Amino acid sequence: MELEDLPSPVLVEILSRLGDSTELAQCRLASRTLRTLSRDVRSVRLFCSRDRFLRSRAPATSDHVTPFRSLVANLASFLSASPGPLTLALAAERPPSADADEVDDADDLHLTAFPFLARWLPLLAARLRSLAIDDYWLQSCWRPSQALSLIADLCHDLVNLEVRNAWLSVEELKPMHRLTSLTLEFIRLDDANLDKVNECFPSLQALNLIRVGGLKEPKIHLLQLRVCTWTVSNFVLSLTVCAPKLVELKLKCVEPKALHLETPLLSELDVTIKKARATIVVGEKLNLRSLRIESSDLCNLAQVFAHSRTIKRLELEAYGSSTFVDLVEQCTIDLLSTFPDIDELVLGPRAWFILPENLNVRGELRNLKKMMVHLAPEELDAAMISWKLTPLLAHARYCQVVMLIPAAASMDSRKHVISKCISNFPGIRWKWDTWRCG
Amino acid sequence: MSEGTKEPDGGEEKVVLKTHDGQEFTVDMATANQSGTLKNLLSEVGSSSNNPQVIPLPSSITSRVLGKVVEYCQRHAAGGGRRGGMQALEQFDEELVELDKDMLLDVTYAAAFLDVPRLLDLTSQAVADAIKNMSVEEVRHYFGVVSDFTEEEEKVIRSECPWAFE
Repeated sequence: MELEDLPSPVLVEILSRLGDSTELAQCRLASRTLRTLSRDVRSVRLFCSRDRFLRSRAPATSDHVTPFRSLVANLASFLSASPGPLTLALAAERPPSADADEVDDADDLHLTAFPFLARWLPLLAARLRSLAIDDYWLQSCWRPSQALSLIADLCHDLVNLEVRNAWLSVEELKPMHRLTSLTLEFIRLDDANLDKVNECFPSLQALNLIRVGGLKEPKIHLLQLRVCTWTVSNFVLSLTVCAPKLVELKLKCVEPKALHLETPLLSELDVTIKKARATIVVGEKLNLRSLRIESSDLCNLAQVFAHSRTIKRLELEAYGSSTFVDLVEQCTIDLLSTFPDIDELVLGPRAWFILPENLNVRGELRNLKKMMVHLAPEELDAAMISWKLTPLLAHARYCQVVMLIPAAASMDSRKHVISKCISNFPGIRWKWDTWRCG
Repeated sequence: MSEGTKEPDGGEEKVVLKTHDGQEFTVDMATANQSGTLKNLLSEVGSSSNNPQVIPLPSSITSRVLGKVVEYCQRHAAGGGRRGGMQALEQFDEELVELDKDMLLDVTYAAAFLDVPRLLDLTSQAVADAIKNMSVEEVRHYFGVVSDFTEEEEKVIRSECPWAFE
């Protein structure tokens, strides 16, 4: 059997899985059959490596390197002959962090530039179902782009849109009724309260806003939204999520003045707030099944959700990074009065580390079925571990404990900890695994 | 997942897959139902334990190739609930497509013919992985493809995507 004996749809499937445009180009030249079928690929990614970009700039090599943006236009022209749905990704490799403060006033790698998009997007607009653009921040950071309005004007069947590392204007943006998934990451967005996002993407079911700047009092108000990740890096005044169908929310913010959640169907909530002194208003009908809270102020945050009696899985983590724990004050959480119905408790590595002096978790949880603890790398002392576990397991009857040991720990210290735990807590079922710090 | 169907006498329905080189593979219905082609066919003609339906396969699906497909279908009919769960099943999938080029293309063809979508995904990805980072000449050699472009045509195509040959 030779490659070309395979049915055409199978060959197109194989070509679509190559992923990268360079590999696709090699196949285009292999034979007529492969060249013809290459037009029908349903997915392709064009990636400009740092090395390639520098070669296109250096006088000695620039004559031999096709500018990346011309390459995109060429490929768009080639692919435009086929009618099938297409997933397209354009990406520029990030410069090393040492150069990150620089600004580049050229536009040869500005991928959200309106004139550049206007050159090739009309050719592929009818095919596009998914479009991802990872722009080159050093060129995109100092000028707003109207890419969103152009995409909305041309790509009527787009279902998924992802834009990273750019400054996006929402001027003249029109509604995209078919778009169900939107990701904006490391974006300066000229839509301070997200009014345009709400108005122009009414069908969104998945929304990821990761480190989107330029927000003041943002309010997500999307009636079809089901899954949302929102990482807010700047100090916004208030955050609101009003989404009647939202099921999963991952929210990470620093210190908002207020947080409003109007999400009656929310089942999984993962919330990180440095200081929980904000006015946090949660709709009365919250029916959480799983709650993860990370904060310097776990007690106050825990109290906010205390009335949600449906929570089965609770995860606690102290705010900080892999190298430090940011704590405000001593905190006590009485699980029996706050989360009496949980059957799974997870303690993150920082929460475990500050147990029990700074974080006192107590409560006679007889129905606890599973507990997972991440042992901190600094602390693999069997006596200390037993001491920390005793109040948590004193009343548990049918509990399994999953102990995650830092991957860097020596085999001897792992064995020692494991054997001590087994002998000190004979009624408990143990499971072991490793985790990587940072 | 489809389960094997019990007949009134307690026997399980079977089907016989017969390759062009004369080998027969007797499989239960849960295994056969992993294949869209067989499922459709058997829903029309039926089969039983006493008198199982014999389905002849085209010459391009040899017994060695069919053996691989049957191995895949049997394992997936059993699902992730047995023999080490989903993790073991994923590892099984990964190892199944560690094949030489000829066998990989043959199993890809068989997966397409028998309509076993997940197996076709696996083999298509394995073929794509195999040709990643290859030059045009290497792609031609790997697949036994002879260039049918004239020199002029090849020049034009190279100029369409010069970045690939920089």
